[in-house]
Amino acid sequence: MMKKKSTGDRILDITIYTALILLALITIFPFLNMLALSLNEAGDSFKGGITVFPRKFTLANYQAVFDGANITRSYGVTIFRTVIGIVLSLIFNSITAYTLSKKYIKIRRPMLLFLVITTLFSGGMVPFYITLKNLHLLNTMLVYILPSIYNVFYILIFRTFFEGLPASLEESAKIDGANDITIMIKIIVPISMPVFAAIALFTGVAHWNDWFTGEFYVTSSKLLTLQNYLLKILQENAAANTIDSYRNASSAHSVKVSPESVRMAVLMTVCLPIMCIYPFLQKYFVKGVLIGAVKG
Amino acid sequence: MSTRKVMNIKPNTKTNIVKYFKDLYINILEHKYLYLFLVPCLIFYAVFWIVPLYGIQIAFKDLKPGLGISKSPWVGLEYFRQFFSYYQLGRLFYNTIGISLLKIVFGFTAPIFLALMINEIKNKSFKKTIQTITYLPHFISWVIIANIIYKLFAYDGLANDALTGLFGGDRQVFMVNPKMFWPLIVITDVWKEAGFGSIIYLAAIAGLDFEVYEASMVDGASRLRQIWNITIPGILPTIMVMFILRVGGIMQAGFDQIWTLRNGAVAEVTDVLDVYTMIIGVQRGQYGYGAAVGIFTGVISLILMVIVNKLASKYSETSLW
Repeated sequence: MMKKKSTGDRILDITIYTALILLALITIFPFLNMLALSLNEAGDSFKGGITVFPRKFTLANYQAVFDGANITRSYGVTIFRTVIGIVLSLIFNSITAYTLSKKYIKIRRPMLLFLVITTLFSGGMVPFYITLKNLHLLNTMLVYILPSIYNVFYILIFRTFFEGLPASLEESAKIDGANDITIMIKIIVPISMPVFAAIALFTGVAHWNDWFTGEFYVTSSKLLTLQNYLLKILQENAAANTIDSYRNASSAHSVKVSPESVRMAVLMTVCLPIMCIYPFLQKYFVKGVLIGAVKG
Repeated sequence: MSTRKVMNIKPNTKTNIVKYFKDLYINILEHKYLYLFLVPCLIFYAVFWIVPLYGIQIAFKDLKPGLGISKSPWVGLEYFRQFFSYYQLGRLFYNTIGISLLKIVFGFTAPIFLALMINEIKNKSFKKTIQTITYLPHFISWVIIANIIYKLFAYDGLANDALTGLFGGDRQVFMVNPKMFWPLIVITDVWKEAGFGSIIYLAAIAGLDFEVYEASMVDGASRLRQIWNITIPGILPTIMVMFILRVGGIMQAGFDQIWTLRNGAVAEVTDVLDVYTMIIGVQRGQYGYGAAVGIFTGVISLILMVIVNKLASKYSETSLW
């Protein structure tokens, strides 16, 4: 049913398209600027005026990133916690959700209620900190992993998926004498790959982006994640760098690499994994928001 | 089943409880692995949720390292008294509520406008592109964003290049200027979250009755009229719910953002309640005091939520519960 557009509607269209294109450009610009700066010679960047294209192209900044021992270590810590965090979250959230998807489990309802209540209120940041302290989790690798294993939201997503699976799968396996652990590994996991992938992405992004744990529960520089490394640089230079980098400009004309330009490269390498998996992630997140909204 | 003897309850209830636990016992034996699956989960929430909940009492205790939480002496409301006589209490509240209100005015309305605009786009791939781009910043952490912002707004940054290029004048040092910081916080918050926030409204719009639009088209209504008379009233319940949640969160001005963006020079305009709690309670180790501030903030949030929910259910028939 096509109708000729009125003038008013056409003006509306033009306004909306223009506004949205501008908005998209504003959103993407800072990232492109960062990319350009990370690919530009440091001495040249000091002169300013770099927008979305590098003026004097170089990969030296990225080389410098991987020469620095501290940064390499931070990559190790971040990748380690992300991988282990994903694996543990998948295992523990899925088995909990599997049990809670069975109507014949007697404590199913009270347990679900309990889980939802834990999301509504908590002891607060300070008692949580003291708990971690008493458990001697502060300043350990474990603090990055243990407290974030379970997530009620993930359990609910898993459960919704498992409830949709036909009961016959489980029944026939049981007749063959399989126990629940075997059923979980041999039957449920293989056919639930989409939901496992979705939760893996959720937890992966959460671990990759988490700076809070490192900022407040970890002081050892050996356990610095990439996010915390970047935050530390920022805090150390925050007020100073806004002026000093300009002052240094004249003395740094010929330099290919500077702390500033390396920082841009580090930022890019931290952003890139997210940007790469983000297109796959998007639909799950949209769904996730909506499930969360319905439950809330 | 010793509870049976302790509890003085009606026989009927008693037998019911006995029966429940008997059934449960049989149920557990029958599905022992499934119950085993729940054990780590229960331990987890006992350790990381119930124990901190129990630890709230430190807000009323003088926590002595040697004695532990339960044996430390009570101090009553001492920490609350300290907090209320804190000479910068007014500033904490002013900053927290000021930033929150500005974020409600701009950050709350922006996703609604965005959703309405995106919904008007008929070209599928253009729509998808806009959505993908505007959702993106949500997935990048505030640490990264703060790093980018510091670069953009630096003395030699692009913001200065653009402003001095267009309007002339001197270069500004934005990031250490207290006057610039609130607008900066609000603008970057909108920039980061407006796209992702529009998802919920787009879903609400998608759930609206299509026939109403067709009928109005027959009546010759313009698209702007349709937005005003059909779409906005249609998503009003969603808007109300989101608004209630927003107001309930007024005591949280956006910890992640403020913590990563702030610096010493702008402390006076960025000291908010959450930030204060973390500095005093965790970093400076005044546990009891910090916990008290945390409780205070939580209780105020809860009260606000209840009030707004009441008002919403009274005037618009939408509410959370």
